[in-house]
Amino acid sequence: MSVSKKHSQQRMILSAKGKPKSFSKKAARTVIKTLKVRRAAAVKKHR
Amino acid sequence: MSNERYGSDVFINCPFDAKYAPIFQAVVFCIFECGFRARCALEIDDSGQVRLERIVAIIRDCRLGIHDLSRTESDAATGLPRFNMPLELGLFLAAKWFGSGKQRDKVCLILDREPYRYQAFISDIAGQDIRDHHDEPTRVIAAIRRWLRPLVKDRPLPGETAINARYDLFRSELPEMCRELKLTNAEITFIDLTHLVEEWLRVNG
Repeated sequence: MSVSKKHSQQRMILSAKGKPKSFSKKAARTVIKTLKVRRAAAVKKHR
Repeated sequence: MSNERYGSDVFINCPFDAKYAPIFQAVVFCIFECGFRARCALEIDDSGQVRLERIVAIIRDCRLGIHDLSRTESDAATGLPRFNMPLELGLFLAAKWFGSGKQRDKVCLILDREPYRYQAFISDIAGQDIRDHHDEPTRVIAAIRRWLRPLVKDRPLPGETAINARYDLFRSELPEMCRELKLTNAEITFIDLTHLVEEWLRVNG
């Protein structure tokens, strides 16, 4: 594999190129809130 | 067009390879946690705009810049180093010195893997704010937090221990966030990451 191709592939790992926005902020917030609730429940159970 | 958030926007000039991802994520997390906004060349997907134009536009938009030179080293295949990061640091410093108005207020933090390593390949930057991180996200967070502290006058900033603890929690929840959002770890774009960090900090504020 050429170096330029390798670097190009590495850059794609965090790149937005060719990808539309994959989720909304609202969707992220919902997921994060769910995780927060799960975390709190796990802490409570542990106590 | 003038950027209203010029004073709080931080240009990130760093490697984008998979090995660097934990450090990159720490940089983005720490910037948002300290109340600033992370910007980088990956945020724009405009194939009509050449890469350098895109970088120059973001540098113009940002008062602050974090430049990581730790990957300036010989490539195993070619024996040549990658010069993108030093080039973009040069553009940032040129904007500060040759630019006008608020461009002259620019401030930058330069990161490298080991102390004084930069002297072997870019000794002219001696005198700038240069910190070493030994490829450890905890050290990167500490360096950024200390660098940003004097720039924040209107609010307290959490200490580096607290930021690192929250970053660890964020990282531990990242795989599950990705799973719920139907993303693999490798598919997280810069925009995805900033959304996740911003929303995570909002919910867990």
